[in-house]
This record gives sequence, C-alpha cells and structure tokens, in this order.
Amino acid sequence: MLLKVSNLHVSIGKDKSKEVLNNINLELDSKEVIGIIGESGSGKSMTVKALLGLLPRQAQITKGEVIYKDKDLVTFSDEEMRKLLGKEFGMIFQNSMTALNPLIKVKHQVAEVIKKHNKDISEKELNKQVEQLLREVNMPNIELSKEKYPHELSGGQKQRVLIAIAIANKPNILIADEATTALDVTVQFQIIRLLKSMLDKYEMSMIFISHDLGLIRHVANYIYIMYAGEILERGEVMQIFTNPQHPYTKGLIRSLPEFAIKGEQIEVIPGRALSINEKEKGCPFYKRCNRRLEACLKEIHEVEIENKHFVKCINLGETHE
Amino acid sequence: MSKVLIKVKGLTKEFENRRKGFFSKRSSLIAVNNVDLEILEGETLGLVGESGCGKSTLGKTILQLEKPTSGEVVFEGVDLTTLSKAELRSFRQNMQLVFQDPHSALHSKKKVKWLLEEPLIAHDIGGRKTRRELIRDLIEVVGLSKEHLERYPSELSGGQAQRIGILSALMLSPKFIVADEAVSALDMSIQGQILNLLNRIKKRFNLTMLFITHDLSVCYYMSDRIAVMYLGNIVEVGPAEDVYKKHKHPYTKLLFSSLLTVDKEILNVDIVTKDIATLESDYSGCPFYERCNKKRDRCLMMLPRMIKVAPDHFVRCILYEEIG
Repeated sequence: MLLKVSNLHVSIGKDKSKEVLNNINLELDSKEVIGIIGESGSGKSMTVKALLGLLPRQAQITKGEVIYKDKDLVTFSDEEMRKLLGKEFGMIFQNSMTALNPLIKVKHQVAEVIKKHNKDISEKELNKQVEQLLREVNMPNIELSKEKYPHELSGGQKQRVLIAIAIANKPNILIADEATTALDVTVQFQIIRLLKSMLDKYEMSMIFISHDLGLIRHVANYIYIMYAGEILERGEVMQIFTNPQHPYTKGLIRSLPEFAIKGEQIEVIPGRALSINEKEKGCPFYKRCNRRLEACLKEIHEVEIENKHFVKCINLGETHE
Repeated sequence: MSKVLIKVKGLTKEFENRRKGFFSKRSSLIAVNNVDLEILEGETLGLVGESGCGKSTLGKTILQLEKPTSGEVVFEGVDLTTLSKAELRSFRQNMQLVFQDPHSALHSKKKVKWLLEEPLIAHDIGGRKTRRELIRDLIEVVGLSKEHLERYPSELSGGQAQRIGILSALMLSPKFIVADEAVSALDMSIQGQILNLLNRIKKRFNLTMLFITHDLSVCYYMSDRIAVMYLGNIVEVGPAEDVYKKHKHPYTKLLFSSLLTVDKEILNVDIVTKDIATLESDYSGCPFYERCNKKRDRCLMMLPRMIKVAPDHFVRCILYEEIG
C-alpha cells in the first residue's frame, strides 16, 4: 500500500466543534487511480488538503492517520511536508488561471519546482529539463510558448503547463482536483489522455477528484462517493456503476441526463445537499432518502457487501436488484 | 408542421478588435457569421458548441441584447432589427433570458418579491394588489413557497436561486425563452430538478425555447432539434435524434467522440490536437478546416453551404456535396 488514510476526522470552528470530515478511509496502491466524487461542499477537496497538510488555519485534523511509506504524515511538520510536496506528491488544481503566477513566464514557473528539490542543477541542465517537460505534455511550439506568460496561453495549454509542473520531479502520487472541469469536451479529452499516458510512463498513482461521473468512470479504477464529509460508498468502478448500493449513489446515476428518456421526467433526488452547519447525527443523506428509517439517525457503520465494495447504509433492501 | 415563431436570416455579429497602433488596419472578429435559423413554435431548439463558438452571442443577438451587424430576426412577422428602442422595449415582454449563474444575475440587495415584481412594474402591468397575487400564485409553480419571497438571493441555495431566475423570466408571460447554460453552474443532483422544471413550465405556459449548452447529453434530453455551432457558424442542424445518433459533420463527430459518459466504452479516437482559434472577418472557407481530419484544399475556397442529408437534417460540409 502506497498511501493509507485511516479514520481521518477534520473539524473547523473556534473550538473545533464542527466536524467537516467524518471517518475518511482511503487506500491507494502503486499504479492505481482512485476517484473521489461528490457535489460542491461534500469535502472532496478538503480530504486531499488534509492529507497533504494544506488545510486552512481554521481547520484541524482531530483524529486519524495518513500513512505514506510507513510514516504518519499527520505528525509531520510544515518543513517536512514541504520536502514531499512537489517531489513525491504532484498537484494539479482546477483553476489554471489562479494556479499559475500571472507575472512569471512559463519556463520560470516550471523551472522553479525542479530547482526547489534539486538545488545544484546547472542552468543549462535546467533549461533542458524544462523543454523536455513541455515537450512531454505536448505544448505546441516550445521555443515560443516557454517564453509566454500564462494569459497568452489557452485554457488547455495552461492545464498542460500545470501538468508539466506536477510531474516535473516524477512524483509517486499525482493529485488532480477537478483538473479538467473548466475545459471544453474536446480539450478535456486530450488532457485526460495526456494524464493517462504520463501515469503509465512514470508508473505514478493518482487521486482524481471530480463531480463528473462519466469522467471518473473512464479515469479511475476505484471510486469513493462522498457526501457531506462522509464516504457513503466505495468500490471498484464496475461495482459502483453496475451494482450501486447506496440510495445516494443510485439516485445520482439515475438522475444523469444521459440515462433519462426523452419526453419523460428525469428521476431526481429531491431536496439539496446539507451544508455542514445543518449536519446532525446519523446518516447525512437521511432527509433526501426514500428508504430512511428511524434507525438511520443513529451512528452508521460501513458494511462490505461484496469483495472491496463498501456501503454506509443500514437499509439497502434487496441487493443485486 | 408547426409554424415558425422566429426566423433568423443572415444574422451576423462582428466585434471590432482593438487597433494595435493608430495607423494599423481595423480588423474585426466574427462571433456570429451569417446564421440562418428557424425556431418553430412550441419547440426546444438546442444550441451546442464549445466555449467561444458564439452560441451565447447568437442568443443575445436574437433577443436584440446585442445589436447585430447585419441580418434579420423576424419574430411573428416583425423584424426586430428595425424596431426603435421604445418599440423593442415593449416587445421584450415576448422574449426573456435565463442566465447561467443565478446568484450574479439576481440583484443581491433586493428581496425576492421585489425581483419578481420589478419586471411587472417596468411594463406597467396590473395594480399593486394583482401583482402581489400573481407572484404568490407563481412562486409555487417553480417549487418554492411564500416564505422565499421575503429572502435575499444570498439566502437561497444555487438551485433555489435558479428557480427564481426562471420565474423572473416568466413574470411577463413571454412566448420565447433563451436558457443560456441554465444548469451548468448547478450541482449534479440539482441539475435534473431544474431540467424537469424547465420542461414543466414550457408545457404549462406554451413556451418556445432556445436551450444553449455545452453539454451534449443534456442537450439531447431537452431538445426537439439541435443546432451545432463552431466559430460563429451553424455547421449542423437537425432533429435531436439524428444529430445525436447519426451526426455527419466532422466537428459534430469530434464532439461526440470526446464525450466521456458513463455508458461509453472506448477512449481511443483520433483527435487533432489543435486549439480553437477565432475567426477574423477576412477569412473565407470552412471554419473547422484546421482541426478537421477529412480536410481538402477545396474547403479553404469558400464557406461550404448547408446540404440536406435527411429530412430536416442539414450539414455544412463539402463531403456530403459529393455524395448528394
């Protein structure tokens, strides 16, 4: 196991009274791609921030551990974490407009991460590596584009630069948080293909966060369904899509417009997601669920319903329907 | 055959580029290029394309929110481009716009009841009492209740705010609605709710709708007919079923093969990695030329004309000229 997150709890607020992540368990093998899916506010970005030690000041890990290479990252100091970030963990965030510094040329931004973890590199070697990286992410006309500022690049090109920065030090784990969300479909397709080829080439693992079920289906091997700071269901891609168990997962898949029949209503999940302020004890999906029981308001534990497929629900009813 | 509600003829919108220097030549960018389009009464026409292809500009130009450079928009026999400002103002009751991001489209310092009453006051409809009654009746149509009338937009969730956005477009009982990426900013479990709502109100108020989106699955579900736009040009238009399953234009094919959906298997298509450009006004020829994998020299000579490939199904590509 390359990375193992167990029983992770994160709270915010003055006295750390509001729990935003509740009992998160993640496992990432080498060369594996896991997908985390959830709506806005479900805690998917918070989860990766927590395991990278990048939580905002108001938030704090209250319980749990993040084991990477036999060490618990939760106990690491900022200084120790900094040595890992960009070196063993590569990160690609959603908004390439804000992730890149608008005042610095592309080549210097790529060079910076290489230099950060390799202080003695010569100027010539650095230049060579920058060009090599930009070539690898298929930047058009490298001589020209490396001299550009971020605003002179298209959305897809900016995303390519971000990928170049993320893989610059050949990390073990790539973390992509909504990495293609703002892009057009044809560009998204290219970026996904690029990411996949990079994973193969450098034998990296990836944590892929998205709100797009279709996308995650094509990228990940194993999927975590998050809702209001909890993982409600997890399983292999095919288990999730052909045999979803949690009422929320079922509802999500059923409400996809691609499965709706023209002229008929889309079967939707009623209501809206809870914000953390409204969260109470028990199942966070309770209010919107069509199978709720009174017992759902007590604490609910995960059950394994088939090999590697876990669900946090006490009223599944007929499985394999 | 239903009758044509809106007939768009040769509609063009150019934006002038900023000149680089005092003596440099003026150049302009074509956002909408000579578009001919008919919108039938009671239908939902889907308009798809990637960002920057001009689909929003086309929507706004039809509504006369952008002044077209040339062309006509004939709405029930009236050419909107010839109307004076005052005439247009009163005509606007017939056509309304639903925006993408409800929170920025709604005035944040006004309560919901004010937001809904304002269009009625502007068009001098009803007395105070009848207006309030109308609002109280209609709020339930969009799945909200009276208590929401006293709230500010910031106190509404994204889905609720979009319901208000839709209702405020309905207040003047328009015949025609342009929904511009109306569900793109919403969470996935809310999207379906709003799509259902749009279909429901469309039926109830006999609306005709132009549904602008970048999402092909949503577009297919919502639309009777689909128009595909690329760099200011409509490249394919036809019944939703045809465009979704039997698309012909190389660009439409590219769009659909890039689509990653849950029930799709392959992830291996030959895609020309080329970014979308913009179209300068002096360019003639097929707008898709650079990215096309079936291009020929002839494509550069002039803009291909629309070719009929099936009943009501038209494609702007010379490939079909040879066959037809």
